[in-house]
Amino acid sequence: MSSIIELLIAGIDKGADALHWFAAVICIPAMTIVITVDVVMRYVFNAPFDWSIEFNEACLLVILFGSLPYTTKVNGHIRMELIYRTCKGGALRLANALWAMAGLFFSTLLAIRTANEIPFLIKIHKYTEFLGIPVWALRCIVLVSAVLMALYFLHLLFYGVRKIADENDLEGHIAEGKN
Amino acid sequence: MDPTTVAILGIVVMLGLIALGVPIAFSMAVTGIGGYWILVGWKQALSQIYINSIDKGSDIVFIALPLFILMGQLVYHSKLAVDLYDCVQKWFGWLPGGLAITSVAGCAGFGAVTGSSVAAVATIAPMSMPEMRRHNYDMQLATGALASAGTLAMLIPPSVILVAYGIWTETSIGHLFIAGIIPGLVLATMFGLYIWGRCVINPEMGPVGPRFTWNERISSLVKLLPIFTIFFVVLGGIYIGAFTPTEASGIGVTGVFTTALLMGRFTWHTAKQALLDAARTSAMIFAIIIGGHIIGAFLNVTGVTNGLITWIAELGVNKYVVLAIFVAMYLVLGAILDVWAMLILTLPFVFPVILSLGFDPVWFGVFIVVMVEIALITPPIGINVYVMHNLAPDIPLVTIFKGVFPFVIVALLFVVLLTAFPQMALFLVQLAFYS
Repeated sequence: MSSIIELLIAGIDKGADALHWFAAVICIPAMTIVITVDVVMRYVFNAPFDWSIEFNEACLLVILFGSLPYTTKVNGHIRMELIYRTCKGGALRLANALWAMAGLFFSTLLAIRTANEIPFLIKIHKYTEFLGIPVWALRCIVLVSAVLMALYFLHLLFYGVRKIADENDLEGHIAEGKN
Repeated sequence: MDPTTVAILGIVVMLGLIALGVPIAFSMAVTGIGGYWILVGWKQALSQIYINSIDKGSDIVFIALPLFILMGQLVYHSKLAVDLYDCVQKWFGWLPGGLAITSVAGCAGFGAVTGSSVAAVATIAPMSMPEMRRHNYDMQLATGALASAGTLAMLIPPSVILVAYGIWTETSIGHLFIAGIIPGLVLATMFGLYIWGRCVINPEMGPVGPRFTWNERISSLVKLLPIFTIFFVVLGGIYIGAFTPTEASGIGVTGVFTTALLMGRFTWHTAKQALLDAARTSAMIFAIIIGGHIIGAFLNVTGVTNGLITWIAELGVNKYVVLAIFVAMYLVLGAILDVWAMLILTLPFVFPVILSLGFDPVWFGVFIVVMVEIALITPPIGINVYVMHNLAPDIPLVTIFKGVFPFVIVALLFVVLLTAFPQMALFLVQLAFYS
């Protein structure tokens, strides 16, 4: 049973990492390039891109929702730990359960609401104005993000906190003296 | 249940969840959704999550956040600040306490191209600490100056905190950036003057550093060209209306990246690290902003925010007394909460009150950043102090906190000045956008 859970969580980790990598390494540079070239086109050639805002909005959505599961995986959300650090035994389990349930509640509701919206968006053939990106495809990223987060919170609820260090956390590294 | 009771219960539940270590974003979101569900209905509560998440997740203004975070990351990894420190030391190092003043000026200059106080301390401290040790500086003054000066990066634009404040309160980020320039310079000068004064009275605390010729000083300015150019293009572009803060963030990232690449200070690994960290930090801030919006919508429905405004108005208390209460509240919150939590958690209540009292939202943005700066160096959270301690592990935490204390007083004095002379923040804004 535990090996199945381990396999499942490894799969979820891979999904979260891949989404985070795509958001950071592909979408952020793409957005930066489009913004810069758009400014140059506007001032040098008087021909800005019509589609740049739309493209950047789509990228932003992917960056933010794409990185949320990874942030959840590495326990990267801001919390007040003054009392939490002193919790032990039952109190710690209760605090972790509350943390998991709060996250699960939010991510599940977001997933449900987004899942309800997707068929409707497909039905009405809603596309972005200039690039023709299907809006449902963007909502699918929100859905995947919400589902991955919900799975992490489920794992937290039943198996407790995983100690995963974020290799790219600058503040954490400096604060822990690893810089 | 009447809305006010639901609001009070909601706030109690939210604070309880936060105290028990539930991430602040989810504590706010869950309380907001629950309250909305009770007062308005299930469907509307679901819509609140969806609308807030999607709207904010694709809000063009939000683009400035990951890009300015990335810009700070790139500057940090590319070691552009080495040249900056070298130049500043040639100009200020010969003064009493000159090396500590150099640290302050270095952090202020670093803040002109990043918005991260932690990165500022982590970048400037490894350069300035060995120098200050070599010249037998008082370690309380040296570490206190560095930890405190790091906070200047948050006030001097581009500032990530100001971007988040602008997004949350729907205040122009361009206006906020321009408003941060003079206060940032004034606060840096006040820190510098304090160090200078202290070292004039007691020269052993900060012996004078090496003196450089005018030729050396002027030629060192050449090395500053990349940083100055990026700063002036980003801020100047916003100031003259050539581009929006969102576009400025893109131009800034391209500028830093190109400069570092040309100077041979980049590898694929450092660039990837900067990108991954920028995305993760943005997602973390995004979550807390969504939570803040959901709790804000809930409080709006209960009418408790309007009730608070009416109550304060009926009290007939002077608006500066209310502001002083907020200062005290932020000092307490800063000691127990992370700066992002402190900001987003209080804005739903504080911002409407501040507006109703007639304070300018742009001015208040600068004000709240200074309060956030103080929170970064006050115990027990004081992240900058911990960063400083890890960069100089032989200096006890207590010594650094003691060293920081006078700078907290200077910052509070600055808050008084900022309140007495709001034009300090608003003058450039009026000149740039309303003249």
